[in-house]
Amino acid sequence: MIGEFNCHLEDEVQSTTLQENMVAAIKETELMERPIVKSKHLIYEKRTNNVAIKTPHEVQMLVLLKRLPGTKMNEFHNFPLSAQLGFIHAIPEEAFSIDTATIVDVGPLGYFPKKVFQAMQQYERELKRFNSANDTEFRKLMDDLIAAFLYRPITIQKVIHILIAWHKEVLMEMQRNNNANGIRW
Amino acid sequence: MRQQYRPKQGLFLQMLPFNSISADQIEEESVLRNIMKMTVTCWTHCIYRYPPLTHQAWSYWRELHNEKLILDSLLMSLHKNWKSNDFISNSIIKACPFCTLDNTNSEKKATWSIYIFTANQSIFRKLGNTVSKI
Repeated sequence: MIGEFNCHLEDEVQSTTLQENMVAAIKETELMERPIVKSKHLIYEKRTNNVAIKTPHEVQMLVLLKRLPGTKMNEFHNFPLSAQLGFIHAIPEEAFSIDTATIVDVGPLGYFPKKVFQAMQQYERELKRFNSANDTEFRKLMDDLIAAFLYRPITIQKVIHILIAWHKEVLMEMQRNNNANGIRW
Repeated sequence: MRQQYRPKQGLFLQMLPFNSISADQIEEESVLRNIMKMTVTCWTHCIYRYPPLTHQAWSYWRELHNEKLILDSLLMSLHKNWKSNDFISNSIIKACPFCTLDNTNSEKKATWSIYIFTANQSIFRKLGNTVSKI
């Protein structure tokens, strides 16, 4: 698939218009007004600056200040675009709150931001207009990305189920023994 | 309380304008639906839904400990006022059976989020080992 700078996608070294649009869209989304729950009331609030999406320099500073684990730096270095799109967010675990979360914060739960999806759809429409051969390949890349995004929480959930299966088995065995011995709690 | 006012269960409704995945796309009774709509049954919820589980958790915890002091000083069966004792309540009965194995973590009370992602390094370590084995 030929990309924006007349070379294959994997050979491109500079960020493309699509990438820039996606990053701009997700940054804007994080700052949008959203409903949050405070004292059992639903109120609307918006962030004044990006918290979940940080530049590599900001992440480096947070790591040095020990607000983020050192492994975060490696993640940001290995997957720079995912980090810029908030797929790997930069919120310290102790500061993470579901009550005040934005769509970027809850990405690991499988929430795919609509703005990023719209940016990709727009690019797909442009591809269709100029070159019909590339749009099917791009569609496949989109599907793969969303599938990977949705399979991430499912995989973690399944692995944890496997890990706690032994404990469940022990409890069920105890229940069977109690029933057999006529023990009632 | 209306669902959208609940901090966790209302998340899907609160995120609806920003989320590209709609309710009909996550299907009924799927793992993804449980995760996104936060309807995964947590350990504490299981205990309240099925009270005999508390006694089983207590027996199980006692079986794991061989110290004479614990065996001599604590009853075979769980005291009926176990909820009033913070240690028994949070660190034994409501403790996630998975986290109970790791004695370095003082906070063991199971929460929903622990089944999705957690800061607990030992879980990540065990997850890594399991994934590599699989």
